[in-house]
Amino acid sequence: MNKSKAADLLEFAADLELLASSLGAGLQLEEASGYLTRHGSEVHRSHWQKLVSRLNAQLPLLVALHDFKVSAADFWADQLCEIIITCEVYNSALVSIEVVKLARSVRQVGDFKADSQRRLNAAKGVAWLSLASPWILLLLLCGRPENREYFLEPQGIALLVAGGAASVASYFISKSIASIPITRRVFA
Amino acid sequence: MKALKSDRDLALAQASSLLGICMAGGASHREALKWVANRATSAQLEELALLAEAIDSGVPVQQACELAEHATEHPRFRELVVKIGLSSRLGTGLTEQLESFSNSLFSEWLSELRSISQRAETRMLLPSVTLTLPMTILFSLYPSLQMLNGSNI
Repeated sequence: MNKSKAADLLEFAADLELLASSLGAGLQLEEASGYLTRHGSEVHRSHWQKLVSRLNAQLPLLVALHDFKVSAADFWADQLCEIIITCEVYNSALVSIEVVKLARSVRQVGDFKADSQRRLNAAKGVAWLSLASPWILLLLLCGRPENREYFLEPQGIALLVAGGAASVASYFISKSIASIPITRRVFA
Repeated sequence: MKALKSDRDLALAQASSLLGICMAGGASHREALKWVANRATSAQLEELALLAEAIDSGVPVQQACELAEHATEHPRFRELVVKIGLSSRLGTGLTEQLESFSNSLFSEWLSELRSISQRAETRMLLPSVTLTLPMTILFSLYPSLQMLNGSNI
């Protein structure tokens, strides 16, 4: 299933909320992650499964979370792992509160990215339409045989080649502008 | 791939949030800074790592914070070290301050992301106006120009 980054983030936020509830109810990380492998989002299920398998294999928490980080390879997953490790070392009572706060931030970013993606898709639609406009016009003009002959002359062919190059350049420039900046990982 | 200017602020926000957790759990300034600096892998938190290193090598927290405050050019990092230095000097709690600092940095980052995204929407139309539109005009005028050219001959 090909999902956008925004949808992934929103599903991860929902997973975090479930995790926070489970941890808040007194479940161990292993049990809470196990719950997520059954009821969590489809996108992140494999990562949770990996975490559960590592914890079941009695690996140290640091190692298990490191493997989870490698598997998820995401800024927010890194932050979750750091919160769990820090709470484990300093104050485990804070873990559910901190995970809820993280879930809120992830949801905010997910909502923003979803909205931004919608707007960019609309702008892309306009860009595509404008990209197609000279060629639609060309088709209409070529309906008349004399116009077709003009476009088959050397100057006409040169114009068509220039038009093609401009369209390709326009496509790639628009594509590069449309990307939303990535977030560099801090606790990879 | 492009990166945001305020990515450094986001990294600092995440680090501040962890510092807050450590301190809420009873860690001293020294311990908390050392823990967070050890966990961070990003070059964006290099100044924090240097601060932790200085503290680890025996420089008092307050003094290390003052040095870092003068050495840094990053206003948000300066704000953080001032908070830590003051809290260390007066013995006041830092947890709530760190949380609010982290939230504020996160909001700023999100706001920059929003403004970049809005700019991208407008900029996406630039190639259409500068490249595609002139081509459309040339395509439409070309047969007429050729016809006029032919009739002159």
